[in-house]
Amino acid sequence: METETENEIAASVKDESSRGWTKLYLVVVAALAGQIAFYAWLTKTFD
Amino acid sequence: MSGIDIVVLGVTLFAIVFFGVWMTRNDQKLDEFLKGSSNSWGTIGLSVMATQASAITFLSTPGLAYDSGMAFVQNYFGMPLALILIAIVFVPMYYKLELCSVYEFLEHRFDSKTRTLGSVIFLIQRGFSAGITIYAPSIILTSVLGWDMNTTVIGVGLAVVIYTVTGGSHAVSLTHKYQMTVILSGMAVAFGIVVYKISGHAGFRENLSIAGALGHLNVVDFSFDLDKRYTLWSGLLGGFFLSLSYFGTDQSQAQRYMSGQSIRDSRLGLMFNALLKVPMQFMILLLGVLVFVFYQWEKPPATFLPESMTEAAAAADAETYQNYENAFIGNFKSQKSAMQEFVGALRAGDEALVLSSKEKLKLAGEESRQSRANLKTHITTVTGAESMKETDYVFIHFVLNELPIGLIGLLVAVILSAAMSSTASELSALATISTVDFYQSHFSKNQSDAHYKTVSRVFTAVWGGLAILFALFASMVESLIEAVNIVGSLFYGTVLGLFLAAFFIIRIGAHAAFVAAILAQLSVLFIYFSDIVTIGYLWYNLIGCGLVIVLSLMLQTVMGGRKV
Repeated sequence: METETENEIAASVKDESSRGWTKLYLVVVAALAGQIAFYAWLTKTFD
Repeated sequence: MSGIDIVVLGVTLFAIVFFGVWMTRNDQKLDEFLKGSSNSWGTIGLSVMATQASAITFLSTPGLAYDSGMAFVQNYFGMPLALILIAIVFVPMYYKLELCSVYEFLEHRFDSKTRTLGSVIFLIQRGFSAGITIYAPSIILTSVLGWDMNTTVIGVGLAVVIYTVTGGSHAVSLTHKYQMTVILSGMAVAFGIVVYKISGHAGFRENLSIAGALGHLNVVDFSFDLDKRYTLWSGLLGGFFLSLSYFGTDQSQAQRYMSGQSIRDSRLGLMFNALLKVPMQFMILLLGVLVFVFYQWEKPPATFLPESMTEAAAAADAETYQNYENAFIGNFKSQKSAMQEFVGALRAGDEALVLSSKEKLKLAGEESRQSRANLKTHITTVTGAESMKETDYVFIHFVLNELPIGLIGLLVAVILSAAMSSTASELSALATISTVDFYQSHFSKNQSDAHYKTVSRVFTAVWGGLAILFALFASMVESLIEAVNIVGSLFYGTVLGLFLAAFFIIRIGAHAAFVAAILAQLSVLFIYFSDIVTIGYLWYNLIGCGLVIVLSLMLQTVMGGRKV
């Protein structure tokens, strides 16, 4: 049972190779980085 | 509140409850009742957001920004990264195993006793916090609106119980959509009004410059100082682990995103939050900063705590009170002059003048802040209310005194909608775990779907009743609120450690994980109660999680390694 579940975990992660999802996750990371940069600019400009 | 406000509030809340009951009136399958298994990604996204946003989010967060600025937003920086990991690893596994309870996963990967351990820890945590979710906004609203505390608690609690019992998890997701619509509309209206009100004194950018000069636009802190509560690094690292544990292993959240039509919908619902949660928190904090600027132009009250306390302090010792108030009024006027001078310098575009007037404003701001703090301390000392947090009352004071009739009702509906949305998720999750992980798993395995639906409804009502009872008696033990937060941190780490070991460390087997979890939990409790080291309770999350992983690896090695 345990080994079966582990194989499923590995398979699930492999499914993630889909380019569409990878792009979406990159967009999320880029949006976070962009926000942090904007907040840093806001702090520097007004603080 | 005026009659119109009460009508707006009543109609808004009644419409949400009625909608929840009406839309789920048809017979649902057990799976749909427990998980709500047909939601689109938009509904999931709003439901996840509504579950996390409690009434305190909308009462306290603007007050926090009013008091100390915007640095709190950094706490959310780790969340998008945690949600990506959950979307990649956790969601597909939960779908493949067709789970109703996330703790079933621990049984698939380890064994039934580990699953029971995870479920028990969840019930302890959420059982406590469901009561607090109702109690915390009720105590604030009743003290400023003059409502009866018991009626408010029972009213809010029963409204949630009605649609959660009748419609189950599906009703919770559907009502979340409309609760979030009310919440976002109300906050947008409040934002527009404060911007309009301060625009009579200065332009938007000039008002931001004033907020900056008075130390309230400190959004990002790159320093590595461990003593500081909010920095970029603690937000990324601490926020990542906290979000991983909250979204990945807490049934009240997992149940929301597992209610999708497909894995795709669940992932998109999570990414919706990964993209929008940080900007939403930023806007709520910015609203608080703009309320702060408003009260630099317009004289704020001596304290935002209920007015009766100021009156009591003034009556108890009129002379001392007057002295403190005169000092504050004098400093407030000086600061307002300094603000006008600063705005004039900005408009003139003279850099040297801007710098000198900014320094003058900083000084005047500090003197004004100090004199108001003296006045506030005098009031809370005389009335014995030192423990009351003024920040919880800032936003509701602004709403009640500055918003037009009708919109006050809408904003109070925002706060109560938030209380109802998070309570509904908690009750639904508590009922699901009680039904699936305990009743079905240990007491009655082969009953019909109708039987389990009835049992789940009974559990929802029982947990709702307990939450209401807890909220009614919470005022007798004020320190319980902090106790709930501490209890959460003491147990969260162990559960996260179990899930991380289950997902990522193949060599750890069931017995090693279970014994390690017990040992880790006992160690965390020992560290907490023995006082051998004094640390903030949030650190117990990390300690518990780390101990489970390290101890289970060691135990597995001692036990001779696991056959894979």
